[in-house]
Amino acid sequence: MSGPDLGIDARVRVRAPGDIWSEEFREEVNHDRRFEGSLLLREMAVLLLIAAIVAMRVFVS
Amino acid sequence: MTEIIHVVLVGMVLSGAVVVVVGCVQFVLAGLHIVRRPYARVQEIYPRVAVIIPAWNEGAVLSRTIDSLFAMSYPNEKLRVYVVDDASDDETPRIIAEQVAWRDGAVVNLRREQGGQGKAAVINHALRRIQEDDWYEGVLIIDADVLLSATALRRMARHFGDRQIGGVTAYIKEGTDPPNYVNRFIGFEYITAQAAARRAQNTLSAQACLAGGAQLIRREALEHLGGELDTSTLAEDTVTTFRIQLAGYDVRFEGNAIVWAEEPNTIAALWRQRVRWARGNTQVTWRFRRVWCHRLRVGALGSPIFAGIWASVVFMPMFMVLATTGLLALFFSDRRLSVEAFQLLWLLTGCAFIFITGCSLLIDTEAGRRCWWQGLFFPGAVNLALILVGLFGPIATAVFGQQLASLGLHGEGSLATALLLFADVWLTGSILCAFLLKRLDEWGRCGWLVHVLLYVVGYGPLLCAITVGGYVAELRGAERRWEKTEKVGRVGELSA
Repeated sequence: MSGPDLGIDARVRVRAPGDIWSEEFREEVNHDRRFEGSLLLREMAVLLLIAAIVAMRVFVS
Repeated sequence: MTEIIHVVLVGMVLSGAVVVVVGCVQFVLAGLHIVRRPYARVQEIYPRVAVIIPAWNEGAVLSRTIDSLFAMSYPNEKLRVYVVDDASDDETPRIIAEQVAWRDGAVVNLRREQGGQGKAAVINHALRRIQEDDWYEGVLIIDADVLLSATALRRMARHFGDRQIGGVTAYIKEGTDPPNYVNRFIGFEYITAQAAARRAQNTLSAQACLAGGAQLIRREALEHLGGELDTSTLAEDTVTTFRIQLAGYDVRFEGNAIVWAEEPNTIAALWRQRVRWARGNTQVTWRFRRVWCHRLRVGALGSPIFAGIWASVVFMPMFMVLATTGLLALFFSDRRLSVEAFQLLWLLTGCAFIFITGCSLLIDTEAGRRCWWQGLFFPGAVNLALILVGLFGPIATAVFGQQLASLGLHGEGSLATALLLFADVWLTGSILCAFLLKRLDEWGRCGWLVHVLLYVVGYGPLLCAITVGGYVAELRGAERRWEKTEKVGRVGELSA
């Protein structure tokens, strides 16, 4: 979703063929999909921290 | 020959890191969950769901649980609640009668006069009744104390849009309010054991367990199982999960469907609950022995990675004993190599600890805020100190070498040697200490001491000790009795 439809878009929004989901359900699925998609990025942040510690350890010793 | 023995001993030492390394693998797989496109086939559907609530003396929690079901954003006409009163002698029968009268046919009372045959038998009692008519399309089995968040069932049921999905389980979170230190440890454990591990199993297309507290089973899958749950083990939920997958269906964990549960708040109560789980896992390991690592025969359930994940849980204490044995053998045969193996073990463990703890706090930030302190002390203060030695020992030695040597903490001094010996023994020693901690908790006179010592010994070693307790109970053929976890209605206001 690119945000709520505004103005004339909100009044004449045309559903795609086969689109039978309610707006609430669509928002929920998109929210969950975004969350699942963010997990890898969150883990990469932790990996960077570990890489820094290991690099420091190798560098000092 | 000596070299071969040393290689074997170092291998034994490193086996002590197997559990945490497998934990890391699970977190990586959880991160890759989106690659499997978990929402590609969901549909906005609201199947007719028969909810089964086994209840034995659940007067303190039952009414609120039933209310939470009808307060969900799910069409009430698509819900029928079957409460199986397993010969309760508290307020439970009265509460069920009130709900039956008030809900106008949406709540059904199934009273059993002969109780105590175990949870699976109680659920089967309801399943027989439910299958007498053609109404239901799915069965939701929940514990009497769990509170479903408003969207939990809708989020689970949407996966039934894919006819390949035979069962869906929710994310059960520890919801006691106010939580004590045991509740908080469990809260953190559930981030790793559910939010991360079960997403990883989604990525592998092989689930170990539809959580008994909140599992939704498709009618066709249930009929494939003969319409009843297996009653021969203490892990009826895990057996059901395996059987559904072996029947050709997929099983999903829906991490965004939140369910709140009241978990034990003492070590003794936790021990009783988890020994039952550990015994169940041991029984499942043997029962499905032809599944492990037989990918060609059984598909994803037989993948080596899934077998590794399962083994890291079931055989966790054995890895610790193996590592301690290796460390001690090296200590007395080659001190220098012993120190190097020790450092490598704790460097590996330290990196894995940061990865697992950091990812846990980021995967579920709500639970992370409540339980971060317990996450930090999950391995215990002593193991945490060893992790710091593994991670920063060489740096400390390089910077403060002389000062440490003058204190006897570095070099060949007797204090340094004694500390090394203690550290070598601690992996297994902590399991024994956790057992003593449980005895101390049962004694019931030193609550504050138990509290402090759990942080010192660690929740991880406690889980290891419980697993050993499960082995012992199985080996001595202890009665397969259903030891119910006492619930008194401590779950707080829903936050999701």
